[in-house]
Amino acid sequence: MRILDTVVLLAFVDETDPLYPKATSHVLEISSNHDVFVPSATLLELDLELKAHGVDDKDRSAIHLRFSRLIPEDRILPLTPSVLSRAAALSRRARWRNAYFDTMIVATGLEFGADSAITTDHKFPRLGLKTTF
Amino acid sequence: MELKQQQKLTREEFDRIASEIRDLVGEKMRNHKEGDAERLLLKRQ
Repeated sequence: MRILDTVVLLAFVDETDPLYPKATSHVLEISSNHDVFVPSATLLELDLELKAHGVDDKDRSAIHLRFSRLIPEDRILPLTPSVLSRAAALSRRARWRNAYFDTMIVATGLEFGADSAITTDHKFPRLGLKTTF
Repeated sequence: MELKQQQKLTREEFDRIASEIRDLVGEKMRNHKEGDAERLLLKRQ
């Protein structure tokens, strides 16, 4: 089982991103390959990234409505109290800046038994999860 | 809770929806830097 990091969705929405072609194939895998899952924290971070870059409420609503067609609900992993507990514990090991969502995404993977995360973030293994891209 | 049943997407539908998402985002994410979401989150606290 693999989980998807926010970096994949961010590259998917930007055709000029060098990671765009590979990101698109990973997003396509969500609905076609039964071992790819999306943590709720990934979706939350995506929404905040869009908001941080000035995408207004109306467009964010329309964007997420479209993502709901690309990401079936049974491919989404919930943000549970156990995930948050593990994320808080992991944050002791995450000494880099802006590690909040990293810890939640890795914690989701670990709680639900993921083997790896689909990401280019090389810090994930420090929290106990291998990466692929 | 019963999960919604979703029909399997064809590649054409996938490409159309992906294109619509990119049109809505436009060029706003071009200068994206890692951690922008967290900076917004912490700024609001």
